[in-house]
Amino acid sequence: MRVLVTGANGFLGSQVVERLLRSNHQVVALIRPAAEAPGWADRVAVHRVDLRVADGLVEALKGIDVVVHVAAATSGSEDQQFASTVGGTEKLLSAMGVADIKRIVLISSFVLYDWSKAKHILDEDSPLEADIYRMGGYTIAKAWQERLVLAHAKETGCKVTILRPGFIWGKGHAELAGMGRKVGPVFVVVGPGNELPLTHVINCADCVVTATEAELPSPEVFNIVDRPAVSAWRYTGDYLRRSRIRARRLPMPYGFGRLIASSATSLSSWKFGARGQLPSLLTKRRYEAQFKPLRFSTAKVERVLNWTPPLSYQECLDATFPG
Amino acid sequence: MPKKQAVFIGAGAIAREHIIALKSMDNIEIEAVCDLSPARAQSAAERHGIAKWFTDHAEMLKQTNADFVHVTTPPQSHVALARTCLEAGRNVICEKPIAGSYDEFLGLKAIARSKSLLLFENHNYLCHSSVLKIDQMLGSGELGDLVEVQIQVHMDIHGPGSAFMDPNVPHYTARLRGGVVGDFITHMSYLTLHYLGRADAAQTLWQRRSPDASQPDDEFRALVKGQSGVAYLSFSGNCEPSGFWVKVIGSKGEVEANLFEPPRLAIRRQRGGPKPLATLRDGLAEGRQIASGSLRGLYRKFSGTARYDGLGPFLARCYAALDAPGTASPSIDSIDDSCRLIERLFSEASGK
Repeated sequence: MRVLVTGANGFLGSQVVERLLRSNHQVVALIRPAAEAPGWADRVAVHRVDLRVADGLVEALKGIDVVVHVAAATSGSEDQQFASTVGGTEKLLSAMGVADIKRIVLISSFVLYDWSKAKHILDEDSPLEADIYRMGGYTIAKAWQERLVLAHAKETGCKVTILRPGFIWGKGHAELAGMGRKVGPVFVVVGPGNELPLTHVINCADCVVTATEAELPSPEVFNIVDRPAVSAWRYTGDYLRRSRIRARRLPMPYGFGRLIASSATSLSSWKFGARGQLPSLLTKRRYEAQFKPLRFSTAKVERVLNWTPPLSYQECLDATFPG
Repeated sequence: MPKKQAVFIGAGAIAREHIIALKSMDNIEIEAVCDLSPARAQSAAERHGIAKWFTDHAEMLKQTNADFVHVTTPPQSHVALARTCLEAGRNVICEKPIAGSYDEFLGLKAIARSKSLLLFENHNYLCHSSVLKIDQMLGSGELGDLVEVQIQVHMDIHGPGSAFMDPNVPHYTARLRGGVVGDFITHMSYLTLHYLGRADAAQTLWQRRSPDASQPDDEFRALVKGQSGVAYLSFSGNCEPSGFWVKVIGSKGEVEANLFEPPRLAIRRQRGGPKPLATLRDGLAEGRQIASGSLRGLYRKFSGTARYDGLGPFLARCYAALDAPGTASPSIDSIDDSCRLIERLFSEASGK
């Protein structure tokens, strides 16, 4: 297959390219104009394109069988993220229409789910966040990205596969918001017994390529989470030890934090109405979206794609913290 | 009384601030929003309960009949869009800088005058809570006679994650006259004239301190001699912490505020009592001011009223002018004065 990967030199994108090359696919990599040349640059066709501008994009899309759309902003202001993630996707889809591309695999996110409505298990059928605008800029941008891709599919007949990974971790990206927060010499682990929806970047890339290679109905959605499940307490311990961070873990029950967040949210709403602004940890919905104790089903990805993660948790730790 | 109608060209970050400010006013309704990005236009409409969204501003002007068009696009498009709106017979509130040169502004002013339309440039800091308090202090004589005004903007435009220095897609200020300084010079100009009345003479220094050539100039200094005192203007794109300080020095005392923050005035004035204790007294008074200002600032952040302090009252003034055009504040002549001073600051570029 001839596969174009956007965000190809990013944290996940570069692993997707590596995995595609291992399966002998022809890869066209889109990287930003100022990005450093990745290690695989001599084995793939590299196009330097910023999706916000998209000069040369139609040219890069010529002869492509599948677009794997990984590019998304993970930092910056809400408007910067919207311009980059959503504006870039608009330009990509427009160019795909011109180049008559028949399939797209979109890397979406778990943040789209309404965690407060999920009951015990979060899977592909769990309700999505209905009011995205009360969540952060990343959620807004990712929700719009899915919306645009689905509308494009409806309009053009382009096939769509949406992949929603949990918390992607790996070398240089091991501290996760769902663990809790470091406060001075103490790491407060929120909901220490909670299962974290972890997916190591190498496993996640493997699942992305498996889905890209599969013949699937459209649209189709898969969540990506590794197995076996790992608790927040265990992961935080491994993270601190292997990163050589001197901090003591302090467990904080999920319910205690939720009580504080609920009280702060109610107080803000009573005092300031809809205008009130709180840090995300004190906003009930955002607190739940990070820490609600849920189990994360892998049934669909196992059943339909016959996928299980190639690396065990221990191997993932070794790959993330070598030596 | 029927509600006044607003439409927007440009649905980015600054448009959101305008929309939030207008939504808090009972007498104004936002009829439509337009952006080149369909997703951004639709998202703004959906988020703020705006009935219509467009990607073609000409089509929006045809299909709507708003009292004001807010031009909230990047600066390079301001003149062309404002001209189109004025020629279509619409009043305009335009983000700063309204024009790329004084001549361009004069073109807009001529159309507005000939069609008896209102034309505003966003001078929101005139209504910032701190500026209003300083005005009160000057008006009451508490500071004595005005001697000097210092207006300083500091930010590290070269720092990590700075939107001004995106190496992939140049920031719009890279193509703006004066670069990032040109994006802020409007605020410095109208505040200078607000305090000095008029500018009789000016000397400037423009330079690029950073070796990065993607911005034209990142340092600017000016001395402006005015009717009622002197203004010292300073923009540095190489300093942290970022801030927008206005310091007004009078014959009886001085007051300073950071306009990037909610109202928090630092006031220094002559106090009675034994002289040896003056330092202690001043220190305690300043500490009290800073502590109470910080608490008020935190409260305003939680209450969601800290953003773009001054924009709401400024827009309210603009809309009030619909019912009494002769009382428009700022008047088109004061916007003219500000644009003329900016032109002078560019042309007096002695340090270049």
